Amino acid sequence: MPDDLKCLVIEDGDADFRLIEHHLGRTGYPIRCSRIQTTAELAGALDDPAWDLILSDYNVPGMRFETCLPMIVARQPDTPLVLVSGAIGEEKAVALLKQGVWDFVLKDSLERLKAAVDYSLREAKTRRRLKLTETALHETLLRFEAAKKASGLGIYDHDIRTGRLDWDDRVRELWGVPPDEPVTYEMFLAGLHPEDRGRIVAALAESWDPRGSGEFAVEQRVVGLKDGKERRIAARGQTSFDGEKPIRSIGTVFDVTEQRRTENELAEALMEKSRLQEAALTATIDLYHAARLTLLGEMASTIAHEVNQPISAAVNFLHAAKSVATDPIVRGFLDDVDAQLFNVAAIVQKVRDFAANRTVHPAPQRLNSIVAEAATLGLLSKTERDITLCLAVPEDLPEVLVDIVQIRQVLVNLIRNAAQAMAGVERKELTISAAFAAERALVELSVADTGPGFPDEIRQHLFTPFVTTKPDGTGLGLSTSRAIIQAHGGQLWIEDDETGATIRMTLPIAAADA
Amino acid sequence: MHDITIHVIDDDATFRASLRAMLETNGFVVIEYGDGDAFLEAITPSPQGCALIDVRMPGMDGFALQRHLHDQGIEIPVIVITGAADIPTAVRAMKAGAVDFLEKPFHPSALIDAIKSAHSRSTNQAGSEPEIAAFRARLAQLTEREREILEGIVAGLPFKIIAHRLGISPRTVEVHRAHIGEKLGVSGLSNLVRFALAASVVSGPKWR
Repeated sequence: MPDDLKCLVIEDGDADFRLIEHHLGRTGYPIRCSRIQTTAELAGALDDPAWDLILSDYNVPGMRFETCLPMIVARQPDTPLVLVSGAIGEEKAVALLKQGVWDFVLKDSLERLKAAVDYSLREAKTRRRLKLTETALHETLLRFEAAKKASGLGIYDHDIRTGRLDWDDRVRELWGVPPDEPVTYEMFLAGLHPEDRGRIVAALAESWDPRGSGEFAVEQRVVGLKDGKERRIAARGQTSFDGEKPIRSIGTVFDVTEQRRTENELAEALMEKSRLQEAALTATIDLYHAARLTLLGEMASTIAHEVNQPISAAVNFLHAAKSVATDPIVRGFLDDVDAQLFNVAAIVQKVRDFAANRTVHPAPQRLNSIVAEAATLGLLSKTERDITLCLAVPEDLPEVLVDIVQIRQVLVNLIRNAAQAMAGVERKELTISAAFAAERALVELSVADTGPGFPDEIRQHLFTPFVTTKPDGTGLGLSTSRAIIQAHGGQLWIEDDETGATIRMTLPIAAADA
Repeated sequence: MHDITIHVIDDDATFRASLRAMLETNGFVVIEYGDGDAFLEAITPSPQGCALIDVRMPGMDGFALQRHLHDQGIEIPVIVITGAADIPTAVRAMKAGAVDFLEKPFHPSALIDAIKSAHSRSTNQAGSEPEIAAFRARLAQLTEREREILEGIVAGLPFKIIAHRLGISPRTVEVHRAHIGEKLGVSGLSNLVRFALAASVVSGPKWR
């Protein structure tokens, strides 16, 4: 059961009011009437927003309808207002309609009131719906604009039959077309990067083909007609068809310049990272390989040297014996021993040659890059992170003539030694410096730490193979390093005091003529 | 009997004893020293005989000992003995004034020959003046490349470095060196270096 319709009646005459009430009762609607007859009452009544209908007499003493009308329209714009009066002129009626009166009923034909109420209520309902729709549409538009703005989307609309192009502000901005200038297909083409033009035109044509899906999705370079700036623009559109005919294409464009740049940078950074990792791995493997080979070579050389010593002594003793032996049989045996001893000496010589030949493959190298690599490799582990590294290797040093793998290994050895030596001290500074000694045609390189220096009892044996201060050392580090440097025609020596140890070495330069 | 006094400076007692046995049975007088300091302490300003010095010794090595002898004006023929001979070591020893250079193990007769020849010459003399003059004359027969290599050797550079700088293989350098020896009429590296030094062959600008 619907609520009663609330009807406001502006009427001074009692008889007229009753008549109106009577006719309203015959409309078939459940209607409840409220009667007023002063302007003050009207103002109060308009505070109540729930009126479904307002009926007003034109001539109420003390109330000028021309004054009351704007008040009613302003405060209750959606409530139907029907004028119930004596005859008024046609012109007057038109003027009042324009000002917001919905309908007229003459007092002498109140039977028409039902039609007027029907019309008014129907019209009110329609107007309410329209208003809701408008509000919703407006809201949708607002949201759409906000979303468009936030996303940076631009929208185009192409009427294919007329060729008319409709671009929004964003598309115009990207192409560099002023907001008030009509957009032409030529402008669209002119904005495309020449290298992309053919491809885009082809994709567009394909999207107009009724046999296809009508979809258009491309990425293109657009050169702003105004700012000349190149942007990467992604476009997506959809063509609608009338049978076999493409009629309209609507779509969006989006500036992906920044996104692609970031993606490229990321990809490059990732590639650079993996390249560096690979290089570090290769260098580590080289180093490991070289260290093992050098260790083998050094062991072979050391053993050969150590074996030579007793052989030499044996040969001397043998010859002393031969000098004093008189028995020919004994002398024969001694000759046999002599021959065998020289066989041993020959084998040792072969081992030594192997150890010596395996070593140096010199090539011109830039010392600063070797030093940088060695520092990276030598200070890889976590415990060495707190060491301050100072590299003073000038860029313009002449190239040195060295076996890069071996020299790198020497440097890594020295850097690791230095790092270990500084494990227990407060100030941890590792300084690697180099200088060119032009008059001697060599480069002097030093690795200095701020450790405690070498203990006296160790210093004497620093270069003796198999003597080590470390629990897991081979005792070949420094002696190997010196052997490598000497094999390069350089020297390696040590300077140390309580403020730290410095290992110095000389290396030959590559271009002696330079 | 030679009655030549041989000063053996070597940290290896066994090796010293073996040298003593071998040399004494060959008629030499042997005095042993465990290190360079002991020798410098005992030696007179104008010693007799000759010194056999081991290169590799803890503390003062053979080169340092040679330098001390030179600095103190002690003139005695020095034969350097090394366990690991290479050209730079040999050149260093010869430049420091050694009259000969032997690599362990050597044949006893080679040492005895070296001692005899050292004893018959004054210290640090390659040979007689006519010998050196003849050597100098033969230098002219060397090709430019051979002369370069000789200068490189005198500069004390390893063959590999010489080879690289000349853009040839170490093996080729080796072959050149053999030719150089033949042309100059000297056998052995130590003789080559000694004569070259005596004939004032200097390391050329290329090797500095």
